[in-house]
Amino acid sequence: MSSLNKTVSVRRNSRFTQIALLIGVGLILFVFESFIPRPLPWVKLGFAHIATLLALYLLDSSAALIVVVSRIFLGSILLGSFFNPTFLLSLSGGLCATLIMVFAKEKLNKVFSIFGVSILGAVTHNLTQLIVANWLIINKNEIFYLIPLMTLTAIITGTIIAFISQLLFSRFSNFSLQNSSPLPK
Amino acid sequence: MRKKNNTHSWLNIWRQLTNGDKILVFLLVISSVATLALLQSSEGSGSAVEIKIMNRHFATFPLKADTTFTVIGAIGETQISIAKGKVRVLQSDCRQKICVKTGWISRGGQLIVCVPNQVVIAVIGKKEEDFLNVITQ
Amino acid sequence: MKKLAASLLIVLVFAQCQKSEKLHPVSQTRILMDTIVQIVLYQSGKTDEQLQKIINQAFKRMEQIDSLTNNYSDSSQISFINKNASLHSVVVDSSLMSILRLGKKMSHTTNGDFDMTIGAIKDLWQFQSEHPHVPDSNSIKYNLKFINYNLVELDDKEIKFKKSGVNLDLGGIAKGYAIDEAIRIIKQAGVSDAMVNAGGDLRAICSDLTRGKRNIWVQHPRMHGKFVGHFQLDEASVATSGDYERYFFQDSVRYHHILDPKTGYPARKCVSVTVVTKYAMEADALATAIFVMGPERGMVFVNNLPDVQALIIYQQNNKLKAVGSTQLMKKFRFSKNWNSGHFFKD
Repeated sequence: MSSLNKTVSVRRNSRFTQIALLIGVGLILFVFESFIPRPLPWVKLGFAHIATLLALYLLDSSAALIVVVSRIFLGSILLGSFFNPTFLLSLSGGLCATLIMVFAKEKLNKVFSIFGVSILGAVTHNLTQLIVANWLIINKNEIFYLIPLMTLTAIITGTIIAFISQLLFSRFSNFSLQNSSPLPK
Repeated sequence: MRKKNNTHSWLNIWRQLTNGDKILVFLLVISSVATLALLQSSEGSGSAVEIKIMNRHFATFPLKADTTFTVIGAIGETQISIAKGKVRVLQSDCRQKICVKTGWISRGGQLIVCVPNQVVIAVIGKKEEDFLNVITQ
Repeated sequence: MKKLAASLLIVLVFAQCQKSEKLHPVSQTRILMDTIVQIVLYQSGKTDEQLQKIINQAFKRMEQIDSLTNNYSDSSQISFINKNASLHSVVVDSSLMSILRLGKKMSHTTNGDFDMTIGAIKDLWQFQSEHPHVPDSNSIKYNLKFINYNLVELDDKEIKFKKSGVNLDLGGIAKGYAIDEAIRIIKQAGVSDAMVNAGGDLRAICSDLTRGKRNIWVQHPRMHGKFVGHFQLDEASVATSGDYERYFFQDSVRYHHILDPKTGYPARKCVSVTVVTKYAMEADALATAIFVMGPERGMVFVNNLPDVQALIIYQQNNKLKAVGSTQLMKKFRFSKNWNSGHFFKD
């Protein structure tokens, strides 16, 4: 009990630190992922969303948004893609995905587990990027033929990301403790 | 009991899924597979390659044309090759080379996109009806 | 639930299969005559290989005509004529002679608004080169002297120019003739449903297989990938001349490749002209001539020709307008908002 109190006070005092740490985690994963080869050009695991999910479940909605936006800004500066189309794609996809995940977690808590939330996020991420890419550069509706393929991969990547995040919850268990259990179920 | 279920193994994922999760996955899979099946049966191999650079139409080539050429995009050059009814990017000045890795495309509706260089290569579909809709120009 | 979904999928797949059984086109596309040529055949009772063979024969004939009439190849017969016909009579291949006769006839019918001797002026503008530019007005004035189809004398087998400096430009007529020859070969081979499309100039023949199904879409002159509208076409030829095909800007003035043989400068009265005729070899020359005539004179001209229909798009007060033969306009379906919005001045 005393340890719980202790960690809660740590959380209050160092929310800033925790968010910063999660941004760092997201950033490393983001940059790391940009260097590993992709199995298919359209398939991306979206490792960076592990940080978003951690922020969402260990902290709260606003933390998740802060983490995702900062991660994308810093990441694109690191990768030298600041304010070019790649950056706009990341930003729109990441932001929409996070907003949907926040909504699903906060309002549909009873309906979706972390897996559902993560899959919803992955699908939204892909869909948003596709729409924005079409609007920004491609301007060919043929690109929407990719929607079913990307949705199917998003189901798989979303599950993987949720699984990894869940593994990490146990490791992070003394990192942060919310009043409720980190897992909705 | 619940804690035990949370021992994180792949097999346990299924048990953790709520009904909402399952319905979501089911709906997504069904709709994707159905659309895929529809698209696969309606699009055969393509008949022409349309190239767009920085949002502007650059050229349309027939897929039969055996040719290699270089175009200038937003950040540099992209070398495109059309051969044996297929098209691919041979070389590109972009960093990640996703367009090069995409490899050959040949079916109607397939795309190669180079986001950094803003080059879009699209195979235009050859539906049966396409021959009956002819453009005069 | 799963059974329902599975059966839904099967139904979808079956519906698709049945749909694609209806028509079986066999086609080939090649680059020929400086454009993309596509031949499509529909025929039941012949194998794909047989149909491909027929297409190959048709292409072979088109290549023959191309090698006779290609202005840009020094070895073509037309280049030889342009170099030597002012010095002495030149014996001409019989297919080329038919093209030349037709060219002269079309120049005469259009009263010189289409002129097969436009070559001397076209050479000045160099629209084919990478950097076309406006020629100086004196050289245009000088070269106008060589533009008159009456300077070309045609005998049974020989051609002679009355002046040195005359330069033939068969352009669309040769392409149209090649299309007609391809159709002739396809018909001879026993195929009654086909289309030959050479870069937007086309001719179709039709059987019950495609009757009522073929639509011709007229390219929008100011918006790439959009269309003015479409009409249904079973058996006829269509050609379009538009100021958007080849053009350049100089001192913020737009210069396009359809030149008025009487002034030597781009014709300004039309934006695009689409002509429907029986034979492809007439369609292109007529479209060019009507473009030069402009909407008013052009419509009078078309209405006096039997079996020729035209659609003329022109610009008035920065707005696109359309006028056309009654018969064509009756079946023409304009695209929504095709003429909304302002377009740049000439």
